[in-house]
Order: sequence, then C-alpha cells, then structure tokens
Amino acid sequence: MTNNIIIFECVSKSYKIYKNKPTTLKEYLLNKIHRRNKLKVLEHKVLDNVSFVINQGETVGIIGVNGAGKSTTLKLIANIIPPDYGNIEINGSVSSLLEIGAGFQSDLTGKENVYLYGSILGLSKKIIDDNYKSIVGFSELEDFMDTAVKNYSSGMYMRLAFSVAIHVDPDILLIDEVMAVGDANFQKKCLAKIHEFRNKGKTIIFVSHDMSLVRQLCDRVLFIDKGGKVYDGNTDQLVNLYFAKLYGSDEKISIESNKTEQLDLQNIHAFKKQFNDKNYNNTNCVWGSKEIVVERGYFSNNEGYITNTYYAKEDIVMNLDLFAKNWYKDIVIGIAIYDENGNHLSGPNSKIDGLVIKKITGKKNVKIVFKKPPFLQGIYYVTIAVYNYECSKPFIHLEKYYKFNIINKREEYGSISLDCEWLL
Amino acid sequence: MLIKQARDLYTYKDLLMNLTFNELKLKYKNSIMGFLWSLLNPLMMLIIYSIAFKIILRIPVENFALFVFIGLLPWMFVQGSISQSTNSIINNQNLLKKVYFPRIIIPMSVIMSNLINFLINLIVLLAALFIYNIEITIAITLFPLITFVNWLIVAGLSILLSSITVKYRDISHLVDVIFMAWFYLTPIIYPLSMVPEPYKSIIQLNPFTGVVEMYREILLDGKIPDQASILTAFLYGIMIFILGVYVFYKREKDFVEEL
Repeated sequence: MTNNIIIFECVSKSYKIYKNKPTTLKEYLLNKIHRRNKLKVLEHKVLDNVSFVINQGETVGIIGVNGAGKSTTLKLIANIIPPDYGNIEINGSVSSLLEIGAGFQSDLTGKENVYLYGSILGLSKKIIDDNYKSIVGFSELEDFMDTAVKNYSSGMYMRLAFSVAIHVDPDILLIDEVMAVGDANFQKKCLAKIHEFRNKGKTIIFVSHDMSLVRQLCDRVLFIDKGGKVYDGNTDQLVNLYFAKLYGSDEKISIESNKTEQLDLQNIHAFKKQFNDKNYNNTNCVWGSKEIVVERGYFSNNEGYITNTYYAKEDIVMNLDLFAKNWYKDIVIGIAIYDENGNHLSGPNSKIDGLVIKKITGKKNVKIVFKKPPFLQGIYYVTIAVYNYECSKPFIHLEKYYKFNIINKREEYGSISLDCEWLL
Repeated sequence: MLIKQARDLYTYKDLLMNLTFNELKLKYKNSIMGFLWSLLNPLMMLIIYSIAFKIILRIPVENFALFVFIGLLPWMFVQGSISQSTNSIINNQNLLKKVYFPRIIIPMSVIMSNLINFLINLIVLLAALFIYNIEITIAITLFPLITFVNWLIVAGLSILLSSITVKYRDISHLVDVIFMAWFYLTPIIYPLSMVPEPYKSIIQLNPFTGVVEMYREILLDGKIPDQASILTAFLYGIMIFILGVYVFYKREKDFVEEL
C-alpha cells in the first residue's frame, strides 16, 4: 500500500439546481408545446479543480461554513457520489459515519439492527459475532437488545448506531458531525475511541464545526471556501481563517492568490489585511474636521500577525495609521468598545491613561494593546476618535467603525469574565 | 471492472442476506400466524381454485386447478419481485445517500426474498401433486435449472426497472398497468395450445411463456422439455440479465443525485 491513501486530482463537483423542472409528463409536454418555462439550470459549484493528498495515519479536519461542501467531499471519498471531473484515488477501505443510524430498521430489535447495520457498513457476520459483546457494551444498552428500535429514545438509537460504526475497522474513517451523541460520558468514550484509531495509524477525516475539537484532533486542515476553493494547511492558521470568514462580513472576500492547493502564511496575511480593511461599518458614522484622518486601522495579535479574531483573554492589538494634514499638537485618542447589543462596555482614553501625542505631522503610527481584555465570546465594535487636548474639537470620529471577535474555549456565562480565586 | 464489482458484491454478501431475511421478517412482523402465512396463502389459493374450477367454471382441461396453480406460483414470484424492486432504490434513498455499498444489493434482496417465498410455496405444490396423484418423474430434476432461468429473467427486469425508475418515476405506475396485460399474455390460466396461430407466436415472444410451459411439463406431465425450448429460454434469460446489470451499473453513479 502506498503512503498516499487519498488522492484528489483536479476534482470538480457541482450540483445542478433546476428551475422550472417539469415533474410530470403533462407539464413537460405543455411546456414543450407552449415553449414556455424553459429549463433553467443553476450550477452550484462545491469543489472547483481541487487537488490534495492525504497520507496514511493523518487526521485531517475539513472545515468551512455551512454549505461549503464539507459533506460532499466526504461523500466523494466514500464513493457515494462521483466527481464531475477529475480523479479520486482511494487506497484502502473506507468507513463512513456520515449519518449514523441511517439504515436502522425501526421494527427490528436492537440485536437484529446491530447485524443489519453492521452488514451495511461492510462487516461480515463473523466479525459482528466476535464483536457483539463489545458493541453492546460500548453502547451501554445491554438490557434493551431485544426491544424493537422504534421504542428507543433518540439518544439510545444514536448510541447503538455509533457503537456499531466505531467497531468497523477500516483504513480510513470518515466522521461527519457525529460527536454530538449522547451524554458527556459517552462523548468521552467516543473521543477515546477516535484517539485509539489514531494511535493505530488509521487515517481519519473529520468534519466538524467544533473548532476546539478540530484543534485537538487534527494534524492538518482542509478549509473549503464557498465557490469550491480548498486550502490545505496548518490547523491553527486555517481555523483562524474559518473564524474570520464566519464572523466576517457577507461581502465576497477573495484571496488574491489563485493557488488552490497551498495557502501559505502570506496569503492568509493578505487576506486578513483586506478583510480587516473591508470590515468597515458602512453607515455614515464618520464625522470631524478630517484634518487628521485614520488612514488604516487593523487588529493584530501580539506577534504582529493580522487577525481580528481572538480567544478570550488574548491580548488585542489595535494599529492605527494616522495622517495629519498640517502640524498639530496635544492630540488625544479615545476609544469606545460596544458589544453586539450596542452597550457601551469601555471607553479608554489616551489622556486619562497618560498619553498625549505632543505633536503630529504627516504619518504617525499608533499601537494600542488591550491587555487581557475580559470580553467573552461575541462580536465587539470599536469607535475611534481623535480629538484636541480639551476634547472639544473632533478631528475624526469613527463611530463603531471596527470590529473584532472573541472566541471562548471555556463555557462561561455573562458578558465579561472575572478572574476569580476560589478559597476553601 | 467487472471483477471489482464481483469482489465488492462478495464483501457485502452478508448484507444481501440480512436485507433478504429482513424483507421476509418484516412482512409477517406482528402477525400472529407469522411465517405460516407464506404457506397459507398458496394453500387457500389452491383450495379456492379447486372448488371454483370443479364446480363453477368447468373447463375441459385435466386437473385445471393444479394447472393454474403451477402457472400462478412463478407468476407471483415474477410480479412480486418486479413490482417491489421497481421502487426499491427510491424507498431506500436514505440509506443510499449515507453509506456506500454495492447498490445492486437492494433490488437483489427483493428478488431473493421473493424467490424464497416461491420455494416455500413449492411445499404446498408438492403436497398438491401428491394429493392429485400426479406421478413425479425424473423430469423434476430440471426444476432448479428452470427456476434459475426464471430467476435470470426476473433479476434482469427488476434490476433494469429499479435503476430507470430513479430517474423516471412514472415507470412504477406503468409497471402496474403493464402487469395486468402481461398476466393474460402469459399462458397461466390457459394452455398455450388453446391460442390460435397469429397470436400464439406473439405470446411465445413473452419470455415467461417458455418458463411457465416448462414448469408444467416437468411437474404436471412429467416430461423433459425439448432442448430447443430450454436453450431459448436460457438465452432469453442471459440476455435480459446482462442488459439489466449493464444498465444498472451505468446508471448507478447518478442515483444519489437523482434521488
């Protein structure tokens, strides 16, 4: 067996959406006779000339916003649908947990369904016989195996299906959003099983919207963008890109490079810059004399890497490129931060913090670091204002002009986080 | 390619078995008599025919009830398989969209469960032959061969129709209508010899004509059919089977998107 277990070569896939498709013969004939309702075909590109290689033993995450084509990619790998163009080579057996429980026969008992579902997944009777105990044990449904599945609760149903599926011993395991099964305890068991798979050197393709899980499990990520481009790369970079897209504007943001296979750091950088610049609040909330303007404002992290998506408590760096038309002195910069509901959360001001720009002429670069901001998950809007010392004359005021996103890995409630010390 | 399909099919042989038996199991699930219905059905049929043809419809054919019964059993196998498998792919679309397995298993399992039903019915038939005092000769050894030919035709047509119906849903309704006519175009309730000439050759074009006639010959008359008719039926079967499988594999990859 070669090391390259999955090879996509220039694969394209699009779905055709028919408008005015006649559903009956009568309609079809009438349309023909009257020459009306011409068949319109909209092509929805899911994958566009995509090539990538997945090696044996890798755990690869596939991420992307809803409808981007993640499940389609899995279905292509699982041989459920064929590609329009291109070539897919799979060197090994595939087992897919695309939607577990499809294939359960509700009138049959749990035991019968184990055999039925197992055989659907390609297990022979002998293998199921050998693993039956362990399947039932894993599902924790020992007492219900002789009950018809229709009397199961939905959680029991999924648990049984997952238990069977996890006992398939394929070379490639496809997992599509199935981790949300059962209670926390069962999920832990599932994760352990997936780790076990990894350790055995199996290849796992993993689709999820749960980015912390993706970070935790995946060696590499394929990011599928709307329009069918696929970026292949480092998990952290692409997860960041995902968040940027997810919380970004709906405007079409294209990445400047046409390269599809590899998205290097620079591309993301370029993309982020563009993204940040575009991320303006377009309503007319800019006022002031404009004798001093903000040429560019963008967010970055401590290392200078441009992003506007942060984890909670991560330092946020706001970069402002100011430009003064003349010579001014004693300039004050004020900032206001709002949450999604428009609540004014904070209003730092350079004068209060002890900084007054003594003189400014031409370009000036200002960097503001929000140290460990206590914001929890959400979108935040930022107002920037440049005033004179008395704060009476606005040079420029950009109301809720910028925004950044906070992602929280911990489950916390409320709008700000507190550093607590718990004493007993 | 053909080898790959065959290997694929072999890997999933347990699935075919499971689906086949589920089909049978589900049919009589929650009924008190359960599997006995498989036997009771043909038994009742035979009793009703015996009474009807002996007392009411007095047709001058020897053992007419048995004559019709032998024709009806394979016909039920044919009709059951074809009409059930026509919609089988559509009915299992949830499964097809989620999991890969050789798609041909779906109509195959329908045919297999009908075949098993047919073989169960034979128990009643054999009992009837015994009661009617019909001598069973060496000709009965040809029974598996004829059943195989019958199976080839049924499988070919079922697989063909199941794959086309995915795209053209009208087929399933068409099949119902055609079966009504087809019943009378097959010599089930009449002997072929009764049909006048120009129509006789038309009826002989029907692939099931030969099969039904041969079943009667070996069971009722105890004679070995002539080689020409066995060969014709066999070739017919092979041709239809190959056509069905060919069309199915051609269309198979588009199923998921058409469903």
